[in-house]
Amino acid sequence: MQELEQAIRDTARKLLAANQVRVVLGYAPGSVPFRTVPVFIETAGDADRLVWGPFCTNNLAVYLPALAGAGPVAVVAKGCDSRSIVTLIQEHQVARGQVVIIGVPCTGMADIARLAGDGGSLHGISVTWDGRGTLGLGDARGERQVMVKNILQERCRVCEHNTPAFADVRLGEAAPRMPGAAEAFAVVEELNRRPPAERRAFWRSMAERCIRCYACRSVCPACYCRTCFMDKASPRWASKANTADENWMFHAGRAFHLAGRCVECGECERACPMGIPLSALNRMLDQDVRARFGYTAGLEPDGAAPLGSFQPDDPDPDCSEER
Amino acid sequence: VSQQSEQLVIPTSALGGWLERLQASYRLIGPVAETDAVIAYRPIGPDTALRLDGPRPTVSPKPHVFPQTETLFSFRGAAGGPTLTPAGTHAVPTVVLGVRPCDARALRRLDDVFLARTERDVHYAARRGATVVAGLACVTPNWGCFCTSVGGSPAGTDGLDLLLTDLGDRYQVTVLTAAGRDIAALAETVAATTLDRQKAEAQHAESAGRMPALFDIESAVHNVRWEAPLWAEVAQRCLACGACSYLCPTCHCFDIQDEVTSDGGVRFRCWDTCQFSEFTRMGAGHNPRPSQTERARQRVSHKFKYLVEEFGNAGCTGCGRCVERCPVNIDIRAILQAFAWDRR
Repeated sequence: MQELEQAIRDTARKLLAANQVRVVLGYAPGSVPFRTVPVFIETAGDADRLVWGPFCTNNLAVYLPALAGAGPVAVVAKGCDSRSIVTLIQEHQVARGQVVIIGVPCTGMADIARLAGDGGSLHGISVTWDGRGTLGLGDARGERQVMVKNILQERCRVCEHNTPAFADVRLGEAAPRMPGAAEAFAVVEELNRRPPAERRAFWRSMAERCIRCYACRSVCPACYCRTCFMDKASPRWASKANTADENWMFHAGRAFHLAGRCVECGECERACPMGIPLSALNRMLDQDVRARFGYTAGLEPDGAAPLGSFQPDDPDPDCSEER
Repeated sequence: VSQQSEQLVIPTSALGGWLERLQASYRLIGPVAETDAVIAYRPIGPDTALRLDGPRPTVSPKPHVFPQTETLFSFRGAAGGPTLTPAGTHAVPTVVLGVRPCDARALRRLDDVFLARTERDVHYAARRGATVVAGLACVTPNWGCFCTSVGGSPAGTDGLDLLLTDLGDRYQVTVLTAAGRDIAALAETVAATTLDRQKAEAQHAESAGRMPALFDIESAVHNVRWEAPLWAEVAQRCLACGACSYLCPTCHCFDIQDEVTSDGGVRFRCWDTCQFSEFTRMGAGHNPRPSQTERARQRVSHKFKYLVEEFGNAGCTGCGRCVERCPVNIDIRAILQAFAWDRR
């Protein structure tokens, strides 16, 4: 039994036994050994269903707004997830007193596409985790070992806050900084070096590929609008026709709505079945917010969000500025 | 595969020539790797890299017979009443190459819905009638695959005009229809030897052997029921995206919308899914499926109950895309298993 998993179970059991929370949101084993599922633990006796490991990829904060108001909720939160919860508190989607953040230091989640390897299949594979950094894989090709750090999801590789910056219960010791933390905006800089026409063509090709399944929106804890502008029937802001223009309207609109609120958990990009690099779009806006307002989303529940507050001396950049 | 089917062989070295001749006579569609993780059926031009080997494509060929958005007619306001102009149908002779048996079988399920009723869907009928489906026997199951659990097979021929089996230095060709014979005739083929046949059959058996059935589909279909507590359990986790439906090769629900300008507009249909909260919501606000619980029930019951009752066939061919792409690991195999074992 690895220590963090035991600590998560113990914490959940105590919180539920003492009636401090109504439900603990965490991870349980999935249908295959390289996936977990979000689980809603409601009794202390069920706490042992909780697991921890490199496949706890979901940002569970996404379930909070719907659960808020029905009693306190504890959430098993990685660094990114804790930032989402902080944002939800700031935006009054969940009351501070109604959420208990169980902060878990994260060393990064495995990318299951990389787990399979080039052209490989995960069909019938067995996966074990040593509780530290090594996965043991077994299939018809035989037994082998893979280091989690070599198959990280990109969003995890460049994560800047893998140990929760804010938590009510802190488990374990702070995790080492992620190897690519200094390169969080490299993808934006690479895109910005391209001429505007090339950038436009790039995003247009992505919009053409979009199938409007809205998985990006559905997994996003910051996308909690009760009716998304894309779904509004009257007035209809956007057509349901799948065209590059309408699809771009959606992605650009969503990105602007997330400015200063996105915590780069990268769930949108993970959920996208069509491989659209949505993190790059959100990071572009985030880079602006950081540069102009000196603000990083999701670190302090009492902090004023730049686009959710007004200051007479707010930066007011020249709109014609070329970028 | 019936012993009577015509069996040919295309040497791998002759594949390029075949593709060229197919492109000269047909619009050719085939799997193209768009990123490391995304393979989609796209038009194949002279310089397009076809990705025949490797995993089952991310998206099925469904959009080529049932586009995500399709204009039905346009209209203009005029003195004396509006004028309507039908959009016409698209019957471009098309070959879709490299179709996996699950996806070919899924086309037959779309045929059930769009062609088997008294009123045929003219738009679907035009595209489908002009499409020749050239399949490829599946060698590598993906992790979500379960075709053998729902009556299919990695080398199944239902819905195919011909089936290719990759034997390394050659493709064994099983001709299944007259349309299949027409496109095979464009290749430099030789007759298959007994050894070729044996190799292909061995491969088919090996592929099927890697995929034992996970549940008894007849029991599952029999036990799927309206009151099951499982629907609420699934719904609690479901985030109500449409990834499962939009990647599904048999999901076929659509919405009809108008796009209006000052003097006219177009009426089009576009994919829709029972997983969205506004699906079939009435103008006055009533929603027949008010929560995700009813929506979870709808998706599974439609596939495994209503379609079975109406057409005799389940609306699932086990391609596994919904399994692999669900962001919260809702696994329809586990749902069917639960019903098959009658634990729900």
